[in-house]
Amino acid sequence: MLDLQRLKLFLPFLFLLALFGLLGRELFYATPNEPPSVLIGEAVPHFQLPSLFSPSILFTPKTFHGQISLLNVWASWCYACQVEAPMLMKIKDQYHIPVYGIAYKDKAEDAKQWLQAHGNPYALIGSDLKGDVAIDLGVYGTPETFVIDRQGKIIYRHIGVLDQKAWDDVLHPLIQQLQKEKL
Amino acid sequence: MLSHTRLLSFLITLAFFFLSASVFAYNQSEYQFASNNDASRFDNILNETRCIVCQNQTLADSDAPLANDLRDKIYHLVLENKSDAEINDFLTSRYGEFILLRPRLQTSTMTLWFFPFFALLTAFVFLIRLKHK
Amino acid sequence: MIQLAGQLSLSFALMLALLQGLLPLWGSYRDNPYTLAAARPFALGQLALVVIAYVLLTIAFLNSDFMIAYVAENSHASLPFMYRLTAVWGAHEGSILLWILLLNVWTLLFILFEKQNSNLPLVLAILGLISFSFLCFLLLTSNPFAAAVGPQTGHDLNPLLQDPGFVIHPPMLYMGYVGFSVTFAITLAALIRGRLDANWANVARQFAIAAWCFLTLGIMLGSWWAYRVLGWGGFWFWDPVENASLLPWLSGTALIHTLALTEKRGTAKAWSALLALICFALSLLGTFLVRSGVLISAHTFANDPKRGVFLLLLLAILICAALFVYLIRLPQLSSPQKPFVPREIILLVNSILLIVAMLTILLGTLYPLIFDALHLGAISVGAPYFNLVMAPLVLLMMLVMGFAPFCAWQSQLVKRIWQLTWRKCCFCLLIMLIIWLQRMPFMTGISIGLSVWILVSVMSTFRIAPGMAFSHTGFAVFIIGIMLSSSLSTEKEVRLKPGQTTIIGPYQFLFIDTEGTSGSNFRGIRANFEVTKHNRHIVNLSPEKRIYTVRHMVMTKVDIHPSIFRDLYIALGEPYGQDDWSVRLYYKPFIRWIWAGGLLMILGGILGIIQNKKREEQNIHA
Repeated sequence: MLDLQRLKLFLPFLFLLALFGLLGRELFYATPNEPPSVLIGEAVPHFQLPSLFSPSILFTPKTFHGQISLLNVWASWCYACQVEAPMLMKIKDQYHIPVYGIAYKDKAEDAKQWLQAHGNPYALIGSDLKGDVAIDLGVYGTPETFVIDRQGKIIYRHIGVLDQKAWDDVLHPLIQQLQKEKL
Repeated sequence: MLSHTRLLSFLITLAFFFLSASVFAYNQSEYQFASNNDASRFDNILNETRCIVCQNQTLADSDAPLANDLRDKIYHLVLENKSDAEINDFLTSRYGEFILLRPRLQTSTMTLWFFPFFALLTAFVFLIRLKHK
Repeated sequence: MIQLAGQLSLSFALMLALLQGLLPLWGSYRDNPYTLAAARPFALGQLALVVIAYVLLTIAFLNSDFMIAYVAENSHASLPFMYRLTAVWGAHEGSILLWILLLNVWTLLFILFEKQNSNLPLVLAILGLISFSFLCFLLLTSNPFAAAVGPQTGHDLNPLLQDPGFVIHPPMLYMGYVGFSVTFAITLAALIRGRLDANWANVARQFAIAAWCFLTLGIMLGSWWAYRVLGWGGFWFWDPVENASLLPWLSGTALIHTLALTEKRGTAKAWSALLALICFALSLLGTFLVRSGVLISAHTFANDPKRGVFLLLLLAILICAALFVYLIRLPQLSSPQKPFVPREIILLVNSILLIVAMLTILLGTLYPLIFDALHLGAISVGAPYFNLVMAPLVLLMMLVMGFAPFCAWQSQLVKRIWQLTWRKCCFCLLIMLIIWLQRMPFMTGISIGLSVWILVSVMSTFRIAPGMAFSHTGFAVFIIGIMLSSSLSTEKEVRLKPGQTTIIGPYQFLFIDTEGTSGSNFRGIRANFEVTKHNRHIVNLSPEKRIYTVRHMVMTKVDIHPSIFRDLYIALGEPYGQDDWSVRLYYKPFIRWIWAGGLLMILGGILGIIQNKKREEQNIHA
């Protein structure tokens, strides 16, 4: 009988502990405005985009097979994309990771001009004039960068400017881990 | 008795308002539908989908370019006679359950949907027990 | 200078708050009349110092003293005078200072109205400790007097807050939130003393009604403000911050009703006391949630996890301490064993419905967090869920509300209740039928039928119980407003050039012209419309599109023609060319009834307090 009474006394405190624990945890880990991508772990959804520089060449997910690469969704009208351009160049030149691009709702001329001004880190660029492919990828803003593995599966999505910190803390270790697997 | 008459006349006046007002969903001139059913389905879906860019607005209210694109997509899906569930699947397979403002009934949301009913039941049972003590 | 003086006042206030908190507690433990008597002067001293600090911050805003970081972030030299006054509570730090100020104002009210109360020192002690915690939070993490880094020209107040509605909404809302701290303190003091009697119930109920009135006013003002400012004609969005204000409102309503029961019959003491503690706990939870940044909301404060942790700890300690005292005293809180009477049953049922509604909203608001913590991904629980789930609860509540006035405080046969009500029930069913026959939605029919049921049930009680009569009437009017405005309203989005006309409902809108407009901190375009009905001029409306130059924010300023039976609402969308505009028009019947209903509820609360005072005076003279 005594134990039942004690338990009843503790129950509300346990409930409060759970509530405060939840709130405390979420204070530090919640990113309510940036929901995680639901495509993580799945193959890149099929698309077929004309390449920016030679529209007869088609950019499809087959390109990703056999290597670990980044897919960067960008636009010439997006200010943040300018900010991350040097980092993408660095990833291409210094870290030797292929970077593919999707020009989101960008006129070919504007995109090409932008690349001339800021440099072209992309191995291949697909021109997504209507934004349909971006929607299929669950993109809701630019820039967004996906890490894609050898089988063409999406492993991670980074939202916003890809800076040195994000590269060092998250993406580069992830890529290195992928590189160690199955060779 | 006097108060009853007053109430009745108030209600008759109200009835006139009902007769004069019309009830239809908003008519965005860009999205035309052949059937009213489709139009109201479209409207409902837009009102129950979150705009991922301006996250505090629905797809019906948002001016964001992505909202525009998604409205176009949903418009075409409705024209193709896709069901509500299929349209929701289209949206959630790309943006996750997050995009739906009405959480779908799944094992993980059972608690959410059934809580009020079971809470009421429990409370009333408790009250009846208390009464019989 | 102001900075230093402000910091000093707050620091001294902190010390006084601590003394106000600890000395009477010690005095109560040791039965020392001197330390007990110290409560009041320390409380008054603390109030004075907090007022000084608040006034200093206001002066800093009026003088545009940008050496203070908080002023620099929320004001600008060109900000109009009225908004400079109110920008004091425009962001986190200032709003916490406002919270503390109002806490001390309520303390003053308690001192003034409860001079004779034997628990006064203990209540002041508890209020002092709450104030001390918040002052610590303010000074350690959210100092409004912190110095700005580098020279500043001011970032201007958020344009969404530059509206008359903003002037009054936060203070009223906070008066409500903070008001429940008094019922919390009164209850906790009574629990510590181990005596919960009719006097406790009476005093707690009066302060609960007062707090509830302010909270209702705050919520109504928030809804009205959102309607005017957000540009979409909506008045409630089930936004987490809105839900946070609804939680203490629902439990506050339950508290008021349950305390009536405890006051009259001495039963349900434990439940009333728990509700009193829960109300304030929910106020604190709401304060935390809004500033934490863990939920997606239109109302955002700048978020810092460190601040959030402090606030969470503060909240946790206060609630756990209160719960601890409650559980210890629980065995002694046994109520006399009397058989239930109908009024008692109905008041308890009301409690259940309100608290289940409160818990449902709490669960829905926190669910995305639970999902995230369990690694289930991101989920949204939005308006469609809440509307669906709250509907049956509200309808049940309304049904019960209607029966309440016919349920006696003595034992009564169910047959008797039915005798009194069956005619009225039939009348309401008739109303529902008429509405359904008009092809109106099912929900509208039921809700209006039940609203009429409530109106009819309080018809004869306006003289004997004006508080209940007006509050219930207010609620019925509120529901009628919601249901009619949502089922009868129409909206239209059209593209217009000057000279073109569009029609919505029975009204014609003629787009006359556009002209430039400017204010001290914005410039914009105003579009002029003339509204006519059957060729009779009704009104001229002028919605605007403004750019607030300092923050580079574009704001849509809506124009509304309000009226008892309908609102005409017009907003500018995007421009297509020189004078080619997308325009949104809304025809909203009965939408003013929503806020009118709220005002009636508040009137009911005020009348309830007045009636209680009259009864007290009669008792004294008897």
